Amino acid sequence: MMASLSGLVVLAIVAALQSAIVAQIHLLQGTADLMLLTLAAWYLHENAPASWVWAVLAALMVGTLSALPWWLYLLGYGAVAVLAMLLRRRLWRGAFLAYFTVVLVGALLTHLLTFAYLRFIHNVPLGFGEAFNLVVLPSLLLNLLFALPIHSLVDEWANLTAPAEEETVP
Amino acid sequence: MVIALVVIGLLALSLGGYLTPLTRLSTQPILAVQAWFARAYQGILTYLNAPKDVNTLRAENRQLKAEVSRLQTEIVTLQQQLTEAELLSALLDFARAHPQNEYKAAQVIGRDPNPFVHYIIINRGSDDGLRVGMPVVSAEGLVGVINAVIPNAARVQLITDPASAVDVVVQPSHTNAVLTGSLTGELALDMVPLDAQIHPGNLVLTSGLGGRYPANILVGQIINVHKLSYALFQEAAVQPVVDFHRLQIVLVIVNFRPVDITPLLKPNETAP
Repeated sequence: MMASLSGLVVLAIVAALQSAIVAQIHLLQGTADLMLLTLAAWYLHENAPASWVWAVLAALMVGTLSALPWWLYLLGYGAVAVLAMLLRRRLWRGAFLAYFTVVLVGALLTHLLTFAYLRFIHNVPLGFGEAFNLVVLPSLLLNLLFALPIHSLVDEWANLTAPAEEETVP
Repeated sequence: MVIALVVIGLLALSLGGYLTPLTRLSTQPILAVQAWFARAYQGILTYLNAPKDVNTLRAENRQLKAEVSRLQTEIVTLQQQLTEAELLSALLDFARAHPQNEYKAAQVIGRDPNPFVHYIIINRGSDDGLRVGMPVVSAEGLVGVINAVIPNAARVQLITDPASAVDVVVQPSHTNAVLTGSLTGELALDMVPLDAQIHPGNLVLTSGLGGRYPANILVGQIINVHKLSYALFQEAAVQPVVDFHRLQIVLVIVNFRPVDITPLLKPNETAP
């Protein structure tokens, strides 16, 4: 209950931060995806309750702020959730490796989906090379730069709201 | 009598300077003892007063630091207010220069989280009379058009958005063209006839064609022209007058009703 309530608040704060601050921090034309980083860290935390609701809520929140449809974000964040849940507890002592993998694959997929949506459904004249060099690659780099601090913060939050259950010795 | 004579004699000797070695010899130990007492007294006084002084100084230092901090905050606040006042003054100038329009000022509170598109979010919405399609300007010139509205906020598509197209006119040649945005935020003039006389430095203003924007709003200035003999149209790069990265306050033209010409385009679009 505590995790659900605080999760809602945290996601709303992350969406606001993304729109108000992070969206203005550019590397060429790329920006970091704070929501994706938060979701990846949350889904990979071993004690955090992994539910589809987080990805849906995140997609709805970001989709409300963005001109792009919310289902596009749902596809991206859903993929992050699936990948994170697949890798969860499977990489022994490889929490960061799993995290970076989920962030890289998730961000790449989100950008490719966005590009395909704009280029092929809305016929926006976007060049793939230009989009890859100016948006996708810089965004990936920025995501990696933001990854560690976000991971630490989400880790703390997850430990606080969903502490590990103590094993009882029979 | 004898005493008086002795006194007078001593005075005379003293005035003559004959008693100086004797005086020096007799006062030296007294002065040494006095100096020792003075130093001891000063030491005791310093010892007694020093902690009090340090505490006072520390308190004063804290107080001064707090005062400096408060004044610095005040300076920052005043600088912000000054910037805002300058911005509002510029917006007022713009509004006075275009008295035919009614404006509603709005603050930029966010940007689209997706780097592929160029949109801003403003803090005025349908409760303030804003509707989809209303043009948005700043003190410098055209910013974009409202794309979505909720009761207390609205989303504005910037003219730099890759999907944006604005009908413009190049002055002084009165050449009509289409201004398009791009992924990098650069503006380009398209659909300019080959024989049109456009040059770097020419001004680009909205033409009012298409019914999406009012006419004669400054958009930018041509910085270079690409003209190829075998191409159908010439192209030009345009430097926008608005700094889209530093947008803080914008004006929404609330009395402009955009014209939807889509039904007029449909027969052409479906034509083989």
